[in-house]
Amino acid sequence: MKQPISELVGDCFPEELTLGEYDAARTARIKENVMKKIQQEKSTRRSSVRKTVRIIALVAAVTAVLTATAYAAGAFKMHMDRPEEGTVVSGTWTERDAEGNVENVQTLQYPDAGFVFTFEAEATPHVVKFRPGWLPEPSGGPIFGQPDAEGWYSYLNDDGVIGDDGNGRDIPYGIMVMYMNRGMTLVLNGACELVKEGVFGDYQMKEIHGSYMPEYLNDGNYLLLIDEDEGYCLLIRGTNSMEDMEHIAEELEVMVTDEPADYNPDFNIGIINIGRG
Amino acid sequence: MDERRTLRRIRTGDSGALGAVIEQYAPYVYAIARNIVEPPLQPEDVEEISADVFVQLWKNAADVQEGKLKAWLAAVTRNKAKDRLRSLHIPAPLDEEVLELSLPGPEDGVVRQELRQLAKEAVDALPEPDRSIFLRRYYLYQKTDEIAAELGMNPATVRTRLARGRDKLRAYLIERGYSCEAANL
Repeated sequence: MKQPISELVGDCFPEELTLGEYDAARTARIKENVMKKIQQEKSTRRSSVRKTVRIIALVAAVTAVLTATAYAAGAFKMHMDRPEEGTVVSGTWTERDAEGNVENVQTLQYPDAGFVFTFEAEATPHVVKFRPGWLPEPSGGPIFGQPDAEGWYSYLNDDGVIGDDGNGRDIPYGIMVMYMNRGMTLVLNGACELVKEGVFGDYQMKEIHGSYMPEYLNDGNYLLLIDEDEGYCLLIRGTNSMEDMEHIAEELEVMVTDEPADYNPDFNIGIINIGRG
Repeated sequence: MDERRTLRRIRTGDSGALGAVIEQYAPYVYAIARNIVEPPLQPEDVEEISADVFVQLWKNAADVQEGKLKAWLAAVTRNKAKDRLRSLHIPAPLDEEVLELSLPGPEDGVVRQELRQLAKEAVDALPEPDRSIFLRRYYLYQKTDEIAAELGMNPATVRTRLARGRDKLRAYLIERGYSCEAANL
C-alpha cells in the first residue's frame, strides 16, 4: 500500500503556523465571488418561494384589511426597504476592552439583504415585554427565554429538534422585539416577499415569507406588528405556518415598561432571520 | 474575532459574519490552495478554489466545531485543491512522496485512521524546528525554498531536516508493526 506522506499527516493540523499575506484586492474578489455563488444557489430556490407567496396572497385577499394608510404620527418611524440589486448593506460591530478602548471593528456586509429596516427616532423607546396566551405545541427542542415572576417575556424561542445531521429543518416559532433606534439597521436576508400588509388591532402589520440560508432550514414566516407611537415592533417568526404566527399574535399580551431600551451604537447592524439560540 | 459568536451568526444565515471570516482567513486559505495547485493552475483558479472553501463554510457551518475553524478551513482547502487537480487529471504535488507499507491485514478505514494517528504521534515527537518544517512541507505544501526563506535557513538544511523527519516517521511505523519496505522519496 502506497501512502503519500501528505495524506498520512492529515490529522496533524499545525495551528500555530500562519501563511499568506493580506491582499485587499484579492480578498475583495474572493468575497465577491463567494457572495455571487451564494446568491446563485439562492435564486434556484426562489421559484418555490414565489409559488408559496401566490397561495398566501389569495388568503390575504380574503382576510386582510389592505390599507395604504400611513403609520400613526409619532416620535418614531420604521422604514422597510428592499435594496436594489447589487446593493451591499453594511454596518459595524465594535468590540471594546473593559476600559472602553476599541479592540476590534468588524465591518459586516450584506449583499444578500432582502429587506432592510431603518428607523427615525425623536426619543428613546421603552422596553417591551409580552405574555403569550397561545403557543404552538412544543417541538421537544430547547426553549429559550425565561418569564419573570408574572409571566412576562423579553423574548421566546422554540429552537426545534436538531436531527442526526446536526441541523434540524424547523425552528417552529420565536417572538422578539425590535426597537426603533436612530442609527440602527436591521436586515432580513435572503429571498423574501411581503405577502400581506394591513392593520392588526392597534398595530400596523406586515407579513413576510422568506426562504433561507443555510439550506437546511425550512422557509420562514415573519409577522411584524409595528407601533410607531411607542417605537417598537413585535416580530413573530418561525418555520411554522403564518396562521400559527397570527394565532400567537392574536393572543399576545403586550406591556410597555418605563425602562429605556438603550441602544449601543457600537453594534449598529443586525439580522432578524429566524435562528437558533 | 470572537469565533464562537461568528460561527453562530453564520449558522443563522448572517452573510456579514461570513464576510468577516473571509477577511481574516482568505490569505491563509489562498496560500494553502496556491501551494497545492500553482503551477500548473493560475492565480484565478486559486481564487476560485478559495471562494469554494468559504461557500462550503456557509453551507456547513453547523459541522464546524467552535475553536476549530482554522483547522476546518485548512482541511477543506487541502481537499478542494486536490479535487480540482484530480478533476483535471493532474497529479497533486507530493503524491509521489509515499511510504510503501505492508499491512498486517486488509486496508480499510480503521487501518487508515490508525496510520494517521500514528503519524500524528510521530510528527508531534519531532523536535522543533523539524516538526514545523515537516508540517509546512507535507500539510501546508510549502516549497522547500519558501520554507528556507521564511525560517532563514539554507534550503539544503531544510531538505536534510525533512529527510530526518521521514526517517523518524518510517521508523515509528515499523516499531508499531507496519513494514515499510520501500519509500519512494
